[in-house]
Parts: sequence; structure tokens; C-alpha cells
Amino acid sequence: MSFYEFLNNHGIDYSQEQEASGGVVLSIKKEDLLACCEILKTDRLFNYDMLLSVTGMDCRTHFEILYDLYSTRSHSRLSLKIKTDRVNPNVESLYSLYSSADWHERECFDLLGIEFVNHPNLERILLPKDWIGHPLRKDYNQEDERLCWNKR
Amino acid sequence: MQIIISALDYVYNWARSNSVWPLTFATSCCGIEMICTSASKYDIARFGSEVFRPSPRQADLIITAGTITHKMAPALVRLYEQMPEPKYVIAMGACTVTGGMYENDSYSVVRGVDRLIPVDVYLPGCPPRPEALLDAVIQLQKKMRTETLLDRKKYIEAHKPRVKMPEGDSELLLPCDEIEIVRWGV
Amino acid sequence: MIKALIAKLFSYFSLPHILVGFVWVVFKFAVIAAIMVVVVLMLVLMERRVLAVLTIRKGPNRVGPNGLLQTIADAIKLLFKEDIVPTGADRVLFTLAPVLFFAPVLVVYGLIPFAEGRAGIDSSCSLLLLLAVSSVGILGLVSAGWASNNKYSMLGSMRSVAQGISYELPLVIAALGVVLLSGSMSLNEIVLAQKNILDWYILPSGIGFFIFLTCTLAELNRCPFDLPEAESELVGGYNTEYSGMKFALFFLAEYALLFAYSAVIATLFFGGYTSPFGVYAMGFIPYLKKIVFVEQFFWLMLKTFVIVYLIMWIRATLPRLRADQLMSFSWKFLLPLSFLNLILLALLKYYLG
Repeated sequence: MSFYEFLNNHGIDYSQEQEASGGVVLSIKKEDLLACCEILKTDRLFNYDMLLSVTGMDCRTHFEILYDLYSTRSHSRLSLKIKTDRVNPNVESLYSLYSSADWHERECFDLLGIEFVNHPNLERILLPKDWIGHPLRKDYNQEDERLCWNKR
Repeated sequence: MQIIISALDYVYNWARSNSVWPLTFATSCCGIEMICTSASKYDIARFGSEVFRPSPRQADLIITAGTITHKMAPALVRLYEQMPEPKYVIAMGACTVTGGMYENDSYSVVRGVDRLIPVDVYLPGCPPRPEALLDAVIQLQKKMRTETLLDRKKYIEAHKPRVKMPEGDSELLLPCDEIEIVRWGV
Repeated sequence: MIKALIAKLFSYFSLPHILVGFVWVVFKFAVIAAIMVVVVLMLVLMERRVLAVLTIRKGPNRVGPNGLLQTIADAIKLLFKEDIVPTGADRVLFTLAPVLFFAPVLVVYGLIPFAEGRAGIDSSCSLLLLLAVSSVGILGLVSAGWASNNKYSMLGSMRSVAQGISYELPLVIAALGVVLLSGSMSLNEIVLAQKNILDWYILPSGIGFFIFLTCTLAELNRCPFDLPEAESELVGGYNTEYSGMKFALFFLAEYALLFAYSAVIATLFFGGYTSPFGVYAMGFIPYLKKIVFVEQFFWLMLKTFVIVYLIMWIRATLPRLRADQLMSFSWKFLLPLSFLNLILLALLKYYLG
């Protein structure tokens, strides 16, 4: 059974994108993410049991989040890509499936301000707790009165 | 009286300039060069400084080896405050001298540790070679030898941190009102 | 001679004569303390130079002739440094802890016979006394860890206590083997029982020597058992909060204890102050016969420094153990081995006399 048949069987809407490195990147809907990851993780054939990274991107019109999955059984990689709005960006947390999602999602929240629903401890991880704004957004400009001692 | 003071100064300066114990503090790639400096080819032990103390209570010198970010800054200031007098600072590497390649538009990097704590020796380089760090240590020893016991109070007054520790839930350092920050160059 | 001088001084100043004995003991310990400080200063320098040589470095060589004054500079600097007592610390205990750690070391020095009949305290059970007193130092570590009000100090001192107690047992039992062989608990008599190289107790009790050395390393908190001071885990261990002179006192006591334990190993297993050839070179020369104790002192120092070098060598060679490995090594390996050693020595004594 091929990969795409498998996804079709489970009724998951996807479109394939080819990456420069030749890895498989699947664009899926935001709502399907948790279900998709669950079947990919629990399936005996594919068994993507490891989440390597969660990467957020600011594409000016929307945010993209890239999930890199890895199978320790077949040693293959798979990337899932979802899109979310710029205003009030939110997506379901993968913490219930992969515990490595914890810090990756916190980092994504920290730098891009994407809210991960049902994350157990969604707070800043890299920046100080009371930092204002999310610095990796394209429209971010740093204007914090408290940091006047660090002006150039 | 003057003779006694100067004799005492000589002994005091001789002793402390020859046993500068640095704090084990490395935040970035300069730390690797610092390790190299204490390893066999360059050997900082020749100057009696190989005793890298893990605890700030026993250190005389803090070598800020590497980029200092806003998140790290309170830790650095606290470590500096925990060191007993007399204490010295070597700003090692471009990042801690001016902010280095992060100077222009980084949101997270402190532009030079001299905005946080008073620096005695600036050591540019990205990262500086071990010879350069040895030179910085020697320059610091020279500086120590010029000081006297009489000026110690003035010295301690001048060696206060230039920022206030964060208050309450905040994690950001606050500017200190009393001390004016003098910046040279750009 | 000196005792008579003190007695004369007392009668000159018409002081009560009862105090002479007391002052004599104090004088002896003052001499011992002076020797100890000098030895420690040399030892720290030696350690730094030996470690440098073993890691292909030069070591301190800028201060004084060939770096000989390095540790003196360190000592003066530590004297002048600011002495910090943390806000939350227990002031009295914090100040007392280095002294508590230091005092037993001084007593240990008093018990070691440096030459024939020249020990601070020449007791008939000095080995027992030595083992008892040397474990009192742990009390200093506990109070240092507790009084600092610092979790790293506390963890460091807890580790150090656990380590000290569990390695005390094999150490004592290994020493018991030597007591069994010599039939005496007096260090002086143990030394006199091994008057030449063939009588050294390392030959029958090689396992005992191994156990004693290992336990000594653990008692001294040195590599590979320096878990109480593991920098990567515990900052500085029990002396995290100590600065200036108090830290120097800890430092001093640690190195003094290193030297004392080495001297004890030399005494128990390598014939102490006796010459390995059975005779003293000074014994043949008529005028020098009276000061043969100088040569005896030399032999003890030679043996001790060889063992000190061995311990430094071990430090440069071995990595640090894990905490659970440390405990299981003591309880599951060293303790049974020390019992086995004791039984073997008993059988040896019974059948060979």
C-alpha cells in the first residue's frame, strides 16, 4: 500500500509539495493535523513515532508551520505543512502524541506568537517572560522602553 | 606611612596579579577558545590562572566569553555581584565588546557587556585567539599592579553594576539612574 | 631540651609550673601546624605542576624562581579578598565549619610518627585514634553545607557524608589487617615491625593497600571520587558559598589531609620512617648518630611524596564516577574484598607465624 493510498483511505485531504532536498512534504488542513499525526504514529506500516522539529514561518499573508516526522522503524522522514491565519493564529498542540512537541511548540509560540491549543505549559522559552511582541514576525519592530539602556 | 602603604601595595598587587582565578563562564564560541587557552598548547597555567573556579565566591575575574542575550544578562549581573572584591572583567570577543555582528538589528543581544558591568580589558576578535586572551590577562595584571590599597573604596564604588536587577515577575534588567553610561566610539 | 627551656622560662616569670605540660603540647602542635602549612603550600604547587606535566603543559612558572612562589601569591590574595557571608546563612555555623574541618586534620598530624619517638601524641592505640579523629572532619562538611543555605552546598555535603561513611568501613578493615600482622595498634610499633623492604606490609597485604588507597581517595573527595565537588553538577560542592580566608582554610585542610593520609599509607604499608635497607646511613657516622631522626624524617617524606604523586597521577588519569556506581563499588566490592583480605591475613599469620 502506498503512502497516498493510505492517507486517502483515512479520508485526509492532502496536496504534495516537492522539497529541494527531495523529502516528502505534505500540505494538509489545519483541522486534520491531530488526526493525521495520530494515524501516522499508530499505523504499523509507517509508524512515524518521532517528532523532530516544529518550525514556524511568517509568509506575510499567513503563517506556515512545518512538522518534521521521523520513523525509527523504517528510517524515513516526512514533513507536514499546515497554514494558519495571521490574525489570531492557532493550531492544535501535538503534545498528546509527541512529548517532544512541548519545547518546540513553546519556541514557535515565543518567536511567532502562534497559539497551540491544549499545550500544557505554553509560555516563553527563549526570551524573558515579560518580553513584548514576537520577534520573528515580519512586522516586528522593537520598541521597549525598559530596554533603553541597550539602544544602539 | 607612605612607605608602609607602598610596601603593602607592592605585596598585595604582586600577590593578586599573579593569581587571577577566572570564573568558569562561557556562553558561546569564545568559550571554546578559553578552553584552548587553558589546554596544553597555550597554557594559561603559566600565569597562575588555570584555577577556573566553578563558584563566583572564589573567583577574581570573569571572562565574559560569548554573546550575552537579554535572557542571560540577569544571570551575568548576578554572578558579577556574587564575586568578592576586588573583581575584574575581561570582555572577550566582539559580541561582548560591542555586540559584534548582532549590533545592528538584533532584538535579543546586549550590545556590549559594558552596559551591564564595568569592563577592565576589552578583547576584540570573533573569537579572539588564545594568544589574545593571554595578552588580555597580562594587560589585566599590569592594570592590577597600578592600583593601590588607598583607592580601594573608590574602586569598589566604580565597580557597581550599571543596571538594576529585575523586580517582581519581570526578567528584564532595568537601567540604573545613578550611574551615567559613557559610550565611546559608535 | 625545649621542654626544659620552657620550664626555665616559666620559673623565671614565676608562672604556675602545672602549665608547662600544657604549653609543651601547644608548642608541639604549633610546630606541627607550621610544618603543615609549609607542606600544603608545597603540595598545591606540586599538584599544579604535576597535573601540568601529565597533561603536557608547563604549569605555573612566572612567579618567583620557576614559579615556586605561586601558592604564596595565592594565599596572600585569598587573605586580602572580601569575606562574604550570604544573607540567609547561619552566621555562627558558617564561620565555625572550616575550623571544624581543619582541627581534626591537625590532630591527625599529631598522631603520625615523623621519626622514632617523635610524634605529637605517642599513644598505644594511635591508629584507632587516627581513624576515629579523621572521620570527625565530616562534621565540618555537614555544617558547611547546612549553614551556607545553598542547595548546591547541601547536596555536596550530603554526598560527601554518604561517601565518607560508606568508604570508612573498608578503610578501617584494611587497616585492621595491618594491626593483625603487627599485633599492635600503635603506629610507632607498626613502623618498627617493618624495618626493611622485605618486611613491608604491602607484600602480605597488597589487597589491603589497594583498598586503603581507594578509600583514601574517596575520603579525600579526590578524583575519581570527587562527586561532592563535581563542578558540572554542584557548582563547588560544600564550599560553594565560601570565599576568601574561609575558603583558603578548606583548601588548606583538604591538602593537609591528603598529605596526612599519604603519610598514614606510608606508615602502614611502606615502613614509615624506617629506611628500606634496614640501616641508616647516618647511623655509621659518629657525630650524626644523634640526629638520625633527620634521615628518618627524610625517608618518611620520600615515601609520602611518592604516594602523593600516585594520587595526583590518578587524578589526571581517571574520570569521575557516577553516584550510584560509587555506592555499589564500596558496598558490593570493596567491603567483601576487605573481609577476604582480613581472613587471608589471619590465615597467613596463623600458619606462618
